[in-house]
Amino acid sequence: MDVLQKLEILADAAKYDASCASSGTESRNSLKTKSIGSTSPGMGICHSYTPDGRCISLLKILLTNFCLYECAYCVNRTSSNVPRARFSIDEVVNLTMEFYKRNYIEGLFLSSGIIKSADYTMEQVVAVARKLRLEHRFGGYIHLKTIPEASPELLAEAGLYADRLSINVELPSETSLKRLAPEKNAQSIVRSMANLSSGIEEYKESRKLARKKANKKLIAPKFSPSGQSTQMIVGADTSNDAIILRKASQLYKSFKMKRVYYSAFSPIPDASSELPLKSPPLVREHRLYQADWLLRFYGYGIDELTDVTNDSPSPGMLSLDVDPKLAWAIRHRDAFPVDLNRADFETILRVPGIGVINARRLVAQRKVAALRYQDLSKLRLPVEKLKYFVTTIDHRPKPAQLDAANFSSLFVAQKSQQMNLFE
Amino acid sequence: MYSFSVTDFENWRTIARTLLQANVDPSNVSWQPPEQQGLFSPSALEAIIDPAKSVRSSGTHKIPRQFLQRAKQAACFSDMKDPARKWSILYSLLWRIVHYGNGTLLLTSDPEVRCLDSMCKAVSRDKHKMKAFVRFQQVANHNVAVTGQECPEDGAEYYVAWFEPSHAIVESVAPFFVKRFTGMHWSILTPGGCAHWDMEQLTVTEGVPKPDIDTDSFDIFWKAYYCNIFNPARLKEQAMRSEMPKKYWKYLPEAACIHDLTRGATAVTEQMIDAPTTNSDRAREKSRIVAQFQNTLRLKNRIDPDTDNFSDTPP
Ligand code: SF4
Repeated sequence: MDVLQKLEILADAAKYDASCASSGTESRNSLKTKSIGSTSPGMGICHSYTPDGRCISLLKILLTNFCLYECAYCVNRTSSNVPRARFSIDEVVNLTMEFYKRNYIEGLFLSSGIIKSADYTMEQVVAVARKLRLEHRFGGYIHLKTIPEASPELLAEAGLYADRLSINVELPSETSLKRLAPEKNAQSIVRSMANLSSGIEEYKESRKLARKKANKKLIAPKFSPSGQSTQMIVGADTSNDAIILRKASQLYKSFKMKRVYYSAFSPIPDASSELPLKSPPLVREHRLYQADWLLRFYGYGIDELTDVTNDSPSPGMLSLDVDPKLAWAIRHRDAFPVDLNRADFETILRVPGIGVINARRLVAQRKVAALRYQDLSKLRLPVEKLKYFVTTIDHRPKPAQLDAANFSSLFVAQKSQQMNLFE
Repeated sequence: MYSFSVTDFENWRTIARTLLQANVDPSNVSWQPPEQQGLFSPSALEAIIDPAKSVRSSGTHKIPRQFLQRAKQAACFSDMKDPARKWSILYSLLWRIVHYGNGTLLLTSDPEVRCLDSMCKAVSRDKHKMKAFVRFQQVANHNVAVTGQECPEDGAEYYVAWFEPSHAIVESVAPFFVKRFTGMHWSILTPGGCAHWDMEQLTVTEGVPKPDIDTDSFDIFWKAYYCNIFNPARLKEQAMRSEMPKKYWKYLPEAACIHDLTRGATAVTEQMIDAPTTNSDRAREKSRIVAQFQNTLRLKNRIDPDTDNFSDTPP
């Protein structure tokens, strides 16, 4: 089998992993090494987009899609009928270098099916990164998927070369993991995440100390400077959004995850009898990302965002029709309208359609002159939505509007039209 | 009324500094693009300063760094209809900052502040897209004639890219490519200027018309990757188009695949969903090794199915 065929098979096998980010690592360039590759602490670059709207930033492939595990949701599980392939270490290294030189990618995201044993597989993955970094002095981004059961020595070496390490939590509960990924062990996933987290922390702390004491020798061996991330599959089990978000919050808190990725369970070429296929819940996935953001940066609580009414047809779920922030506002109409000239920053932040940047702008601007309705459209805020929720010195929504029984339908109608167009 | 034709940011800065020192109101200055030279007689800078009138002729104004940075960014903005408009907006803002304070820049709904803002945004977006969508092609040496650069020694790899940025950003983006592709000999050609790196030195030369560059045989690997990393079950064409507008497609070899991928997506997805499922014990039944391997792990993982203690504290 030639490299082109392998690439086709092993890219196809990797596409269900949602993360392709190359952001937030250390600042590196190739001026000194006279080699290839640079990274920055800011946003990574998307070099292309596929027609699913996803960014291509990294060469995301599997080293091999042979796998001894039987994870029901996965295209690479042992029982799957898909064609199999295995790259040699040099083949991956070459593809990465050649793609990088043409400015197709920011770097490599390498993961692998499990062959022989955890350590054997991990050693192969690490060997690719080792060769890129040590032989080719490759300075681009490297994300390695780690195998929870791999030895600490291999993890340490992986952390030395990789910008980011990740382990997928896969499912929001241990029961689901047991049922759908019977060879995976929830405890060892947790243990490995904890190990990564302490390694990342240790390296970070040592850098801080070195800076403080102005002594570079105090810096510990590099360890995954861009932190760790994980992925949870949505819709393969029956967990509701509250369970998923609670799990995510725990992961953020316990392991300082950079990101928890939500991946709508997607149809695959050959489904398992254990887990028949359906259309991927893309809107639900989108709402989870929105809620995740609100939880981390806007100070919302999980119970505020998910449906907690007892007789609800979908308890513990986020609204699909409107975004979670708007849904909250609709449920808490008594808190509106908000007077943009008086309200504090946190209250303004809860107004649907006003994000952190614009909330700051409004607060800065009202010190210069009292806010008028016109100012909102000048800031390009979505006034059609906003007008029901705010007052300015020359605007006040009609109280009857906000109290109307069919208030929420105002937004649902708009939204679902959009969804038909785009989803 | 004074008239100036401005070539670039540094040029504008020199003129603006003198005008400020001479306390010249923005309404008394007319800014012209460089092409206009010769059509009118530009004012002589030296003539502006009247030592008797100018109070601060020797002092310098404290201008916030942030403004200068943004002004420099905005200076790259190309406005087809009114190429010199940016210079007059920049001078007017500078004047207002000096006379009414740094708070001027906080007036986010002020037309001039907004204009500065949108120029900066447009330029920064353009830079970002250039970093993303420049595609190097490896070319044979004879192709070097195209770039007007000296041939790298025989057998050395040489990479060339053609790109048409919307704004005058080549010079300011070139260092990014130098830091990233230090170990490569390359040229980026654009109509408004070219950047060349010979692994030692960066040279910026005049713009060129679109050259004839051979396609790179490595394209097929990239296209294969692109087609296979796409998940047809998640088709969202609109989202792709908003991030990767069609005007950039001509630089991207993979864009040739978009039409077919998009058209076939729904059918492929339906096929996957409708296809019969596969017995999950298939491999276990066929291979004793697989069964043994899995059984060992499954045994280790066995827990009481009624409890769910997926806790985040390591045992
Ligand atoms: S371990 Fe499970 S999820 Fe990973 S490749 Fe194998 S079957 Fe897929």
